[in-house]
Amino acid sequence: MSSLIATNVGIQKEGRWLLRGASLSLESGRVTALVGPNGSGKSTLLRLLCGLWSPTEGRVDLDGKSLAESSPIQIAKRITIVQQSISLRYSFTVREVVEMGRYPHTGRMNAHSDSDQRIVCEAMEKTDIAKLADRHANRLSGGEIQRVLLARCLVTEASTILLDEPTSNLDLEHALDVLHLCRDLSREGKSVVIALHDLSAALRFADEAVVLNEGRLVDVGEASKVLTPNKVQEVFNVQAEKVQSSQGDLGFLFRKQGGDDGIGKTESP
Amino acid sequence: MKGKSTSICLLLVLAIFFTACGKKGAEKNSDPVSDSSNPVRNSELDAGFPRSIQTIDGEIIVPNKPKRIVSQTLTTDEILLDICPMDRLVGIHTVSLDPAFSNVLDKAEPYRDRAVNGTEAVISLEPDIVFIASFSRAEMVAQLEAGCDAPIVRFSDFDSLDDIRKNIRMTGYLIGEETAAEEMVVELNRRIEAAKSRPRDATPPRVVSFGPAAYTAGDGTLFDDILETVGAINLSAKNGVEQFGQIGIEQVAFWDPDWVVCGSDPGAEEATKRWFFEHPVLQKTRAAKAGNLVLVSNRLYTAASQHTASLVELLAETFYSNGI
Amino acid sequence: MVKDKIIDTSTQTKRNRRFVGILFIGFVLVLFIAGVGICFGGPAIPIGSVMRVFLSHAIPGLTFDLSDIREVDQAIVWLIRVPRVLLAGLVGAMLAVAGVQMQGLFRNPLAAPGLVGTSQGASLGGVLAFATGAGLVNIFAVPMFSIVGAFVALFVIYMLAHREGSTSVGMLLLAGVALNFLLSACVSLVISWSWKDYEAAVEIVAWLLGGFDDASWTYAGIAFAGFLPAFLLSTWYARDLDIMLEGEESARSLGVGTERVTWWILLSTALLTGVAVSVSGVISFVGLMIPHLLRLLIGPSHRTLNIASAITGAWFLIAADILSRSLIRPEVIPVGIITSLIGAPFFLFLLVRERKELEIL
Repeated sequence: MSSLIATNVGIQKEGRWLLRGASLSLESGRVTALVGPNGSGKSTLLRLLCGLWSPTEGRVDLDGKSLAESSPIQIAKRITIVQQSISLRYSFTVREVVEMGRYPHTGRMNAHSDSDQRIVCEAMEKTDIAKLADRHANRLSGGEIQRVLLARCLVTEASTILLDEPTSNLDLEHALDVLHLCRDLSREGKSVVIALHDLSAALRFADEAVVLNEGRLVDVGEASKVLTPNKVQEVFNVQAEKVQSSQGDLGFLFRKQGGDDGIGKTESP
Repeated sequence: MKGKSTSICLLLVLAIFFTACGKKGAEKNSDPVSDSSNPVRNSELDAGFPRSIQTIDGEIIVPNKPKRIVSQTLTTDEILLDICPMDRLVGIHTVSLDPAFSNVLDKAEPYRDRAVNGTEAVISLEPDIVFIASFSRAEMVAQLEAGCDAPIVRFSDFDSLDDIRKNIRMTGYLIGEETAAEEMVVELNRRIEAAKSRPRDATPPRVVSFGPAAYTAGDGTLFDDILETVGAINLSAKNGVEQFGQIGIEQVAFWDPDWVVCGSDPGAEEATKRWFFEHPVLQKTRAAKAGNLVLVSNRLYTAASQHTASLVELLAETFYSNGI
Repeated sequence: MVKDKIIDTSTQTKRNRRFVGILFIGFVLVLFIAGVGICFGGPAIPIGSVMRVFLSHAIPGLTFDLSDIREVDQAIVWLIRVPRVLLAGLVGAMLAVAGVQMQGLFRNPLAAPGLVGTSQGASLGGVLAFATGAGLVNIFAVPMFSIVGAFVALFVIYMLAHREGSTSVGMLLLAGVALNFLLSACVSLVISWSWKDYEAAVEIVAWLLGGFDDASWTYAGIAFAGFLPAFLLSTWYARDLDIMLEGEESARSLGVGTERVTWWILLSTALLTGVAVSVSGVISFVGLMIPHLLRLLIGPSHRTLNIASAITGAWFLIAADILSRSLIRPEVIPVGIITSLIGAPFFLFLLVRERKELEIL
């Protein structure tokens, strides 16, 4: 069991506050969705949570110890992140790229042991890239890259997994796979944080939701309670309607603010 | 397509390069005057002006006896300072006042205010004849021709003692001082003959010119001609080096010369000696073991005038007595 | 599934096989070409004499009667030819490994010591060592100054061209051109200042021309002393550099101390380039061609790339040096001219291949 707690963190870059006053506690076994418009600070919060950026104010604690006082390796063993729109430019094989995720454990000189290999294979099976293992990483499609990076973050065996828009490049099937995988991981006891644009997916797959707007945490809490049509309207500036499918899954439908018949309008079934 | 044009460009550059190299060789054959040792035909000796000669730039005509002579090469400076009356020599090159290169420091001193360098300065002197260097660029010649209404004389051959004689005579002929020039050649010949007549060893000394910059004088160079004159063997020429070439220390050691001749500057002798005698391989050569390193001051080493006689004397004296 | 498993290892296996092949062939070639260099690289000394001199020096306890061999020939074999092939091999390895480091650090296949000003920086350092007179007093002064010069140049180009975890080709090349000009101008300036002392200037120019003509055991020793730590350092950080290739931030999230790695790699590259330049002058294109070709064959992994580049660079430069001495015997063509004649067309070819990326800029 681990805990990652952000206390009143804020970060300033080039004189501008990207995020301010964010407090958050992440528990294992939960999926947390970060939602908010573009530029609301989702990626910034993720970077702060894994120590890539140091907060200008406030602190992030991993198991009671500040990230600032932990070594990169210590952090990497506990927290892993897949960032948005990473391109793979070199002709490493997919397997080699995934193996890089073992770096926090093997270090720079040790060879990959059998158990390392097993972990790598499992991760590739889980993310459905086993058949790509031998392909050159610079010849993959956007969706394939996304899954390769997900596999790489799985092999770190970190207990906290941060994913920035993991479904943005994926087709429907693989997007759903990834979301299910997140939920499975949380059931294995990991803490999963996903920045998402798809509010319906957030509603269905996340236990908790964090709503961000203009660098502030607007609301934090249980997903079904936080993600309300009113909140969506307030933050995203669109009219929203919560609907339920015949199988009981919840989702959102959106309508352009003020307009009753514009582009982007979706009819309710 | 682009690749093709790139390679064509490269080929062109190479072609131009090699043509340029070829020209250097071709120029050597165009003797300014038919007789290689005496360009001045007797019938013309006393004849007045206009006078004309053939050079690499075509026929040069000197309409009147020059009264405003400007020299822009060290070689012609050295010749003119000896044969030309001071009032007619209105410009010399600044290099004649440079102790590193000049053999005529004392003689050039009175001309200090006439020492110039560059096209503009030359034109402003309003010369009626200009002597320039063989390595002067074509545009400098064109500029001079455009800027002053005077014959531009460019000597190109400095590769043998005969070339030197020819250049002296030609200079004298063009400025109407052929008698003084002829006297200078006679004196030059006398000194060379004296050097040649020194008693020699049974086996001719085997010599290499070489220094820290790794260049050597091979076949077809003035240095080669001098070595031949004093009865020494130029190992570089014998082994196929044409003109000046870069050779390795290994090569020099392999030839195992009796003597190594090296250009040097005042003050740098000790460093050059150390380089030679302390080099792990060069010190094993016969030359090093016998202490046979000849340091020649660069001004003498690079001279191509009557002062070259001093180098001939120095080498003959060095090779045929014992040690430096 | 079974089929997948077979494909699963094929690229890797192919690369591994090629790596082993390159190592094996490389070792054979190094020995063979070095042998050719020692026996035939230079004026003709009978091969039997060469072998006797070589063996009686190289193998302690083994003595031959050398009395029929001229003393100069003995010296040529043991004091010039042997250190010369060693030096050429070491410098080739150094330049190739330096190229690997730079291409990895800049994430750019066009980075190489001679192209982006690192070698020029080393030259300036060396020239300053001569001009201040330090080079004449202490034989380590020139290498030390060169290393510092290479490091400063490398640091400047890194600061200029490296932005947010990657380097644009255009910025790298343009900054490289500018830096090269600036440093060359400084070199010329220093030379013109020292021209008052003709002999010192000649010495500087001769040093700048480079090549292996001044090869000696001292130089080979200096080269080895520079190569070994830099090579170990770069191999030590090979996996970090691999991970950094795919983005600096994601590397940091995996626990790679990117800043520390960058500094050490910069240092190792400066050490390699500085020492290489100080013992052999600027030899271009070795550091560009060899890593690039090998990456195509054995993949971008730095561990294997380092080792393969070292061995390939070694035999390549020994061979180039033999060519430089034998094409117009007895004269010598500076070895840098040979490598440039082979390397410059290759560089143009790379530029044409990278044209798409250049046009975006």
